[in-house]
Amino acid sequence: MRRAIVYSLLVVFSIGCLVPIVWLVVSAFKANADFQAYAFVPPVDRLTMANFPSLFKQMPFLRFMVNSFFVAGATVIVQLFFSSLGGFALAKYEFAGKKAIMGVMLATMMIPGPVLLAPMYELIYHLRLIDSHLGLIVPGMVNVFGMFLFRQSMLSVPDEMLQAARMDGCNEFQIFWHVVMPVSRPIVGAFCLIAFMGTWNSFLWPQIILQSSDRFTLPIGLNQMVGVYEADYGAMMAGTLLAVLPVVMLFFLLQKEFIAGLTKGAVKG
Amino acid sequence: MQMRNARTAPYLFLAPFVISFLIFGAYPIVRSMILSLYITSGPEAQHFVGLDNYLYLLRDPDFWTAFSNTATFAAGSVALQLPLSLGLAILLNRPDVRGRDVFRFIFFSPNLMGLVFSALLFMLILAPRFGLLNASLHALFGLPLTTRWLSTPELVMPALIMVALWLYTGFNMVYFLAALQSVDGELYEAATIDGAGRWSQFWHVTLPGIKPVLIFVVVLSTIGSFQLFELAFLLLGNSSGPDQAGLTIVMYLYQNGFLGGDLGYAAAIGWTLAGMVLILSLIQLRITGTGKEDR
Amino acid sequence: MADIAFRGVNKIYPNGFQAVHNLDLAIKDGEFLVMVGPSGCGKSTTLRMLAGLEAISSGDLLIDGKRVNDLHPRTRNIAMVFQSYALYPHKTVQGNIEFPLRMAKVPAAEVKARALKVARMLELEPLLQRKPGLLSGGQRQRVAMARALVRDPVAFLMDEPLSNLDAKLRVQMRAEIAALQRRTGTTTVYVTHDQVEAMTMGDRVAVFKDGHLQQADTPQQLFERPLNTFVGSFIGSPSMNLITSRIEPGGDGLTLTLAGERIALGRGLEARFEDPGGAAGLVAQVGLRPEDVVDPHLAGEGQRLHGRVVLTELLGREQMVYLDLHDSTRVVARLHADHRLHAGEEVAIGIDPARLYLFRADGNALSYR
Repeated sequence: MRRAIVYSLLVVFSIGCLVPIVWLVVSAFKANADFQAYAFVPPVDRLTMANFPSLFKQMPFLRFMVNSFFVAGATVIVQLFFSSLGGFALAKYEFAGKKAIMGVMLATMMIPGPVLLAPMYELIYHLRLIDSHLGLIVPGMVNVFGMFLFRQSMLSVPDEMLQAARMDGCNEFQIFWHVVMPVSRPIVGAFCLIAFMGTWNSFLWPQIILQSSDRFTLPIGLNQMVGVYEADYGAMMAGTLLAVLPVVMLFFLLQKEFIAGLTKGAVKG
Repeated sequence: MQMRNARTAPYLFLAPFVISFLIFGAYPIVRSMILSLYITSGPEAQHFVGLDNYLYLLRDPDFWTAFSNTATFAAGSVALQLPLSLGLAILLNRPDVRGRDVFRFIFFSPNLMGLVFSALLFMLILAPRFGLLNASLHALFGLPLTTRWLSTPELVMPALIMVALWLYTGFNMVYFLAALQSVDGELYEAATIDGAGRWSQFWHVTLPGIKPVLIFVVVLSTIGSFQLFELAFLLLGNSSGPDQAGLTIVMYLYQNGFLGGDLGYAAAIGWTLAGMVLILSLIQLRITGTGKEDR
Repeated sequence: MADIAFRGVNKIYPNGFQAVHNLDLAIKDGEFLVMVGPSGCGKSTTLRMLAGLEAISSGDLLIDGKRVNDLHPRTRNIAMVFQSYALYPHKTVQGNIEFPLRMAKVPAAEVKARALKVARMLELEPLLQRKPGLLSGGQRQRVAMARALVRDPVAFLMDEPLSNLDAKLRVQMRAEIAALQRRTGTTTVYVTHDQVEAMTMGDRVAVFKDGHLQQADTPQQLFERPLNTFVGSFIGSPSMNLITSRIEPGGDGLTLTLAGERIALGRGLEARFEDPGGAAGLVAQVGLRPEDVVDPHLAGEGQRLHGRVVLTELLGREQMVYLDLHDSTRVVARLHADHRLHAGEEVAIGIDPARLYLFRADGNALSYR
C-alpha cells in the first residue's frame, strides 16, 4: 500500500517532467495549421516533416549550428586544458603562493557574473573582438569551478603513482599527460559535459556581443527568429528540438561521469 | 636539476590559467568597481560621477520594480523547488524503490533542455488557446483556454516560477539524492535500536547528514535566482513584460548598459546585485549556523 | 650493476625534523641489502633519497663513484617497486611494463621484445592484455616487478613490496623475489619493517632507529653479534629478554646477579667476547633469547633461575612461557611442550652462559671477538 503511494507520486512527477518534452517532439512534427486544432497529439497521419525544410529555408539554421559547435568546442578544449593543468598543480604540488592563489580564485567565484558584463564589454571592445566568435571564446577560457573540480578529483590520485612515473622516466608534464589525465577520465568526461552545456546554452553574453546574423549561435539565432516568424510554431519547435539534441547525445555518452562529477564538489566539499 | 624541475613545474602548469584569469577575471572585477563611478556612453565617452550611479539607482523606481520582481521569483522558486526536490530524493532513496536510475534520469531530463531552449518551448506551452498548459488545465479542470500567462501582470512571475520549477527540481534532486546516499546506513540502524521513529530519524540522522549539501543548494539556488534574465527576457519577447511585471535586476542592467549604452551604470547595478546576493547568503549561512560548529 | 654509497648523508625536512642522521652505508654491486626498522626510523626516507624522490640535505650519494645528489630520478636509471605497486590503472599489463621504455624512447620493436622477455621471466605472459584492476595481489606485485626489471636498472629499490599481500602469499613472494634477485644479480635495496623478511631475504641487513643506522651486517652476524640492545631485541622473535645485572669477578671467571640469584658464567663467554674479564664491576644488561633457555636438568650448577609462571601459550611442539623472577622481572622462554607448564607453577629454567649477550649500561655490546 505504502509502496503504491510512493510509486504513484514518482510517476506523477515523472509525467510532469516528461510531458513538455514529449510535446516538444510532437510539435516539431506538427503542421502549423494543427496547433490550434490539436493541442496535444494530432492523429499520426497528420504528422509532417515539413517543419524541417521550412526551418532551413527561413534562416541560416545550419550556420547557427556550426557557429555553436565551433564556439562551444573551442571553449571546452581551452577550458579543459587550462583547468586540468591548473587543478593538477594545485592538487599535487606544494609551492609558495598556493594558498593565496586558491583563496583569490574562491573569492572571485562568489562574485555574480553580471558584475563582469560592463568591464568585459569594454575589454572586448578595445581588443576589437565585438561581433566575433573569439569575443565569445576568449572570456570563457577561465573556468574557476572547473579547475576546482579537477583539483578535488586529482587529490585522490595516489602520490606513489606519480613517483612511479617519475622513476619510470616521466618529466612533470609527462606525468600529467600520461598518468594523471588518463586516470582522471571520469572527471574529464563530467567536465566536458558541464562546460559544453554551459557554452551551448549561453545567451546573455552572445546577445551583447554578436551583431551579424551569420555569426549567431543557436540561442541567439532561434530567439531572433521568434520575433520575425512568430506564427511558424512548427519550425520553431523543430529548431528547438534540433538545438537540444547535441547536448542530449553528449549526455548519454557521458552520463555516468556527469552525475559523479556534478555531486563530487558538493558531497565532499 | 630534478628538484628545480619539480619546483618550477606547478608555476608553469598554473601559468595559462592564472594569466587568463588575471586578464579576464581579476582585471574586469577591479575595472568594474572603477567603472561604476562613471557615467559612460559606450566604451569611449566616460565622465566621473563618484557614487552618483548608486544614489541614482536607489532612487529609480524601475530598479525597485526589478528588485521586487526578482525577489518574488527567488523566494517563490526556492520555497517550491527545495522541498519538492528533497521530497523526491527521499522517495527515491527508499530501499524498496526499483528503477531509481530511470526516475533520476527522468527528473533530470528537463535540465538537459537548457534555459534558453526551455524558454522557447514554454513560450508555446504557455500560449493562450493552443498552449499545452491551458489545454491541460481545460481538459482536467475545465479552466478557460484563454488565460494569458505572459501578458497578465499578476501571472508573469507565477509562470516563470513554474518553468524554473520544471527546469531545476530534478537538478537539485540529484544533489540531495547523492547526499542521502552518502549518509551511513548504520546510523539509521543505530537510531532504530535507540528507539527513534521515522520522523525522529529524519530529524536526527537524515537532516544533519545532508546539511552541508542542503545549505549548498539553498545558497546556490538563491544566488542563481537573483540572476534571473534569460527566462524572463525570452518568454516575454525580449521585453520586460506587461507593466514591467517581468523586469529583473539583470534585465535592468542589460537595458541600461547595453541598450542604453551606460556601462558605468551597468557596473553599478552589477555591484548592487553582488552586494544583495552576498548579504542574503550571509543571512542564510547565519540562520543555518554554518561555520560556527566544526564538521 | 652498481656500487652505491651514502657518505655522511642527512635529511632535514623544512619543518626542522631530521629524518636521517649522518648516514654512512656502502652497498656492493649485486648485493641484496635490506633496510629494516620500526616505522619512522628513516629507512624509507633513505630509500627515497636513493631513488631521487627526496632531496638530500647534506652529504654525498654515490653511484659507481659518481655523485648523483642532483640527478633526476630518470637519469639515475634506478627502478623502484612501491608498496601500493602504483600500477597505472588505465594501461594494460603490457602497457605498464613497456611504459618506462617508451619514456626512454627505446625503439618500438625492442620495447616489445624486452617487455615480453621480462613478462616470461615473471610468468605474466598470459596476463599481458589485462588491466591491473582485474589482477590478484600477487599478480599485481609481479607486474610492478616486471615494470622495474624491464629497464635493466643499475639498482632495484623496493619499499615494503609485500605488505599488501596475505600471509601465505607473502612467504611465497619472499622466496620469488630473492630468487629473482640472485638470477639477475642486480643491486637491490629493500625496505621492510618485518625483521623476518629482512633476515630471510637480505645478503646484508641494515637496522635503523630514529634516523640513525644501528648496524649493517649479514643476518647471522646481526643475530649473533648485535652491536646494541636495540638490534638485539629487534632481531629475533619473540624479543630477547633484557635483564639488568651486575657483573662481578668470582670463582672460575665472572658471576652475574640476576634477580637475586647468582649465575656463574665460567669460561663460556671467552669464545665470543674479546675481554669479558674487563667487564667485571660493570652494571650491564644481560640478553637472553627465549629460545636459548635450556632444560634446568641439563644446566650446570649455578646456572639456573627460579620464577613463577604467569602465562603459557602452546605452539604445537613448543610452548611460550612467561614467568616472573623473584624480583618480578618478566622473562619469556621458549620450551619444549613435552611437559606443559601452567600459570602459578614455580619453575626453574636453565641458562647456557655461552649464549648470553652482554651490553653495557649505555646499551652498546661488549666488544665481540
